[in-house]
Amino acid sequence: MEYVDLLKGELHDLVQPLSLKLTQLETRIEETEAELHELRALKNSLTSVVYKLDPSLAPPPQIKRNGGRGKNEGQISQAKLNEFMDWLNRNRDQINAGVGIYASGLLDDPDFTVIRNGSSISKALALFHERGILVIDSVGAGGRKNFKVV
Amino acid sequence: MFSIREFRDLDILVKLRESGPILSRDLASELGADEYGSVIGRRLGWMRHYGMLERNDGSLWSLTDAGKRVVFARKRAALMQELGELPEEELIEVMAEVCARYRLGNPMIATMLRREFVFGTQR
Repeated sequence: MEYVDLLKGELHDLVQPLSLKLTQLETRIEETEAELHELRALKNSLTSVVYKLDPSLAPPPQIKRNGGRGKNEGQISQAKLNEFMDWLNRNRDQINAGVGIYASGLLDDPDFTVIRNGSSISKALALFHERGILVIDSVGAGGRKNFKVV
Repeated sequence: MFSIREFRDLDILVKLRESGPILSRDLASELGADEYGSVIGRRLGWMRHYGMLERNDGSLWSLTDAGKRVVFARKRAALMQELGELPEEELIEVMAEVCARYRLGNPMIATMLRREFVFGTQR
């Protein structure tokens, strides 16, 4: 046991300078972060003053497309949307006779080949809902929306 | 769950067209609500206030004549295609016409237009 204690003591002595260095590094990082924070605050207040004195220097405001909800129609081509629309029209009776359609269901359906990406299907469904082509028929487990064709 | 940011008025109107007169409890169940609460009642109450729905003595909810006209109005495919192909800049004029209808037209339709804007823009 004495040997083990001796080893522990030696290891402790070996680690101590490294531990000290680590503490110094942490202190240095904290100081640098505090300085960076102060510099950013100073930059923001200076920028604000400059833009007030000369508004022409201010960048144009960024406009959020589609209310900032990320439903950017541009991500799905119009051709795909038209194809999806045709599919809806062809399958209207079948869709409306059942529980409706939902994104994950279409993704799992091997016969649905118009769009093979879950996110794009969700976006297209939301878009058709906004345009009054689809209506929410019910909301399933976990908030899944089942749509039917108007 | 039944906020106008989640469900368009048209969603509920179409559901009522399919179901016919219905109790709010049953409507909530058909729409997938786990439990019946006052939320659907409040939504239906506002829709009645705006003239889209009515409730008879047996507490059954149904479409008003004006509500039926909205649900049964079918968009002309040619018009929708034309609207879809309009350059964005020309939509300003379309919006101006919609705004004019909002101010001068049927109050129920004006309310639905306003609520559509809330739904569509989530604002």
